[in-house]
Amino acid sequence: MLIRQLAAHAGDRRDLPPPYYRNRNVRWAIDLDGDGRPRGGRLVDLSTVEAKSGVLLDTPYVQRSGTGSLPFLLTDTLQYVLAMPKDDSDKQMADARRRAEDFAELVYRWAKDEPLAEPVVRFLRRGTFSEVEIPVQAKPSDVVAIRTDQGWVHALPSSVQVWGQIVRERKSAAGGLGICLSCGEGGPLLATIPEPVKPGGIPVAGGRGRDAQLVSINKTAQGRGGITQLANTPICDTCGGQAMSVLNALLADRQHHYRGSDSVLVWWLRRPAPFSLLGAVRDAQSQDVRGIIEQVHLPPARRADWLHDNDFYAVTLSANQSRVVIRDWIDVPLIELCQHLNTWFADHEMADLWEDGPQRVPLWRMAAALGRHGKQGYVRDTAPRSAERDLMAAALHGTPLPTNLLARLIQRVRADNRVDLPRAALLRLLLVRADPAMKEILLEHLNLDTRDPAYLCGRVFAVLEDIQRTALDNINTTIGDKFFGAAMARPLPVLTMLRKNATGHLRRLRGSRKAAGIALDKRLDEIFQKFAAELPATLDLAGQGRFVLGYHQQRSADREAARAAAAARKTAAPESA
Amino acid sequence: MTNRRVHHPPPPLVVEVEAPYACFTRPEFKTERMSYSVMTPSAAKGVLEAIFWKPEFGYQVTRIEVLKPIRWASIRRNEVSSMLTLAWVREAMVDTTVRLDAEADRDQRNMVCLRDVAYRIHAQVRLRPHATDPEAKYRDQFRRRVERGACYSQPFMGVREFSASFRPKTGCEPIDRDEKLGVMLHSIVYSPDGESYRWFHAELQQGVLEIPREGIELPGADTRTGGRR
Repeated sequence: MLIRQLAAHAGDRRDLPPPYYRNRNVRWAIDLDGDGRPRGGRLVDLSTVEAKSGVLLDTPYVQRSGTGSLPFLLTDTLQYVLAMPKDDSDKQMADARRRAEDFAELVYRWAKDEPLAEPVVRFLRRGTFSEVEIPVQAKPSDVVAIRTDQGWVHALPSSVQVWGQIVRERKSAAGGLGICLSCGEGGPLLATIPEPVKPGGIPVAGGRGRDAQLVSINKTAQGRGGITQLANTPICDTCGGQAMSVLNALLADRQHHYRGSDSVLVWWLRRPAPFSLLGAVRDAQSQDVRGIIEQVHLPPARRADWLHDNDFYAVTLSANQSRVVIRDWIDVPLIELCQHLNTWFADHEMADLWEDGPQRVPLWRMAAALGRHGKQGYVRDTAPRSAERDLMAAALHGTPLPTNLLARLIQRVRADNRVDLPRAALLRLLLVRADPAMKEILLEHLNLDTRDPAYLCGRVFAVLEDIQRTALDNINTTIGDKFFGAAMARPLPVLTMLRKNATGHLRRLRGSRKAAGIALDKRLDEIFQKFAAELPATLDLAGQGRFVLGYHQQRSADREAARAAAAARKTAAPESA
Repeated sequence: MTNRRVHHPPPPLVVEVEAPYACFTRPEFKTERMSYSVMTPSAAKGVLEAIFWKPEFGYQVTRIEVLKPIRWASIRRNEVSSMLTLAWVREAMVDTTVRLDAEADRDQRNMVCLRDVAYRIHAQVRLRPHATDPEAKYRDQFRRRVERGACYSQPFMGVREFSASFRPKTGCEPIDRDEKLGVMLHSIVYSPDGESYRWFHAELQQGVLEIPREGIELPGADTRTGGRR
């Protein structure tokens, strides 16, 4: 399915290189005149200050495995083109000469029916290529391309055609015709997939990746009956070539991939849509989110054209050495995906301490909130590696999140003594997805009606902290700093003790700020009246989560009310003046 | 003249299987294994044969119903990269010092498999030419074995380490899910020249996978349908 949908997407992309070409850094060029003599008798350096590795060009490329001589057509490394040995040993020099001969043979084959090939053929036949001056900084593995008065010779249509034939000959199964597993059509079958995923395309923890094969069967234990290569996995050359070409293009397209710490999510649509679907989740940009939510709420007949009969595909890839690991594959109608995204935002929207109204949180901030909070925000690389991947999967599939994330989040809240918007939003998401009944209790704003004891305990704690802050002007350590973690797990003893202590603070307020004191006392009483029974002695993980949300939402509501009161005073002041 | 049995086949044999894990490996992702989201007919046939097998008949799986929501899990394991060969066994028989050093032959492989699966398999018995007894005999024997919980070997879900339990039909409803699964292995045909494969376009409709009687194959000697002869 994956290979089929990737190959089908090839028709929609304009940025694909020709078949079996890859966008690579070309460091050197050989400029040939009409007579096939290199201009200046030396290599031309294509590197610049900005691009030290040279210019990016679509050049012939397939995976070379083993130590055999397998040249590319017209553009290859210095070892193949100019017989530059890896070292001065006789063995390496002979090896380089052999490779250069094979390279020339490939060029002669292409040149048979191509009049523009004359300078290149003369250059190779004359044997003067060994006299081309190679700069000291050049390495045998540097890529060199050949340019004539007509431009890059590897870009000529005849080069594309001949190179395609050569690759098919190299990679096809011997005499293999059959039904392709991917497209279900009959055709020439491949022995191996010609093109690997480019190095760096898939993030690898602790290092730079290397070429990785999407379909790899090269050990006896991996193939059926001990047979290696694609013998029992029939894939035609069209599907194999196009799928890899598209995958590499998507991995290079910033709009179509999302890199995590050890995986990358690549996505595409059957037909294009006007805004970034993944960008909506990743960055929670309001225009993207609004566009999706509006479409979901419209009746089907009034929905936009791009939603009709359109599908969303996404694959999450990791690398295991030189093999690609598929961690997740999504193939859903686009409207279903939009509904999942709508639910995603509805499930995590959360009141904030600093902004009015419910806020939507970018996915990366929620993932980072699972890490340690330091002096300058969340410390990098302290969140679980799989967190972003798990969150993204839950967003796209509309499924619950792994339960270990709840334990992790509660532990970080207690250890850091910090609840903020991303943590509260993630907490609500975790609890609501794990138990849909929680949707009645955990709203995006303060729920004044619920009698859930854990939630009420959180609210009580927020009011007690407010009473202390209001009563004491110069306060170093609040009860939040000292008792928040303890109150989360054991509300009964901690809140009983704090309620007694608050009596003193309320007495002080009666003298200094009587109105505030009465208001806070009344708020505390209102919450205590909602308890149907005694305060819970202990809370489980989900209970602690509801406690934290009660605390956060009570504080957010208090701050919002204070901001509204200040704004009202501000508008009333000029009128009275 | 019409054949009544074609138009009125006997009610299918039905068995329900359940397992904590399953991996019905997609042929294109068999190294870093990725499972189909639904049981394949060849895996279902393996389950049926583990319960009851006789050389006089074979099973034709007609339908697979998915009874539990599709859930995924990922496992990475240490395996070895080479397989046991007859030549190696012969060598080991002659030279008793020969050992397989698994650490030197290590290959770490990932598996994206299914979790908490349950399927209802429907199948028909197809008698082989040499069978002399009526079909009903084998059908009854199969049903009795399922009710007793008897099996020749423990059934498994795609790979042998994922053991499965089985039971007679219950009233569970298939899940509400439609999905195009792509080209799926229908069956393997064993012949003196080697094995060849049959494929079909699999599609889950309302949690039910209908399986055609025959898979796709290419005619002619110069072509192959998968396996290299």
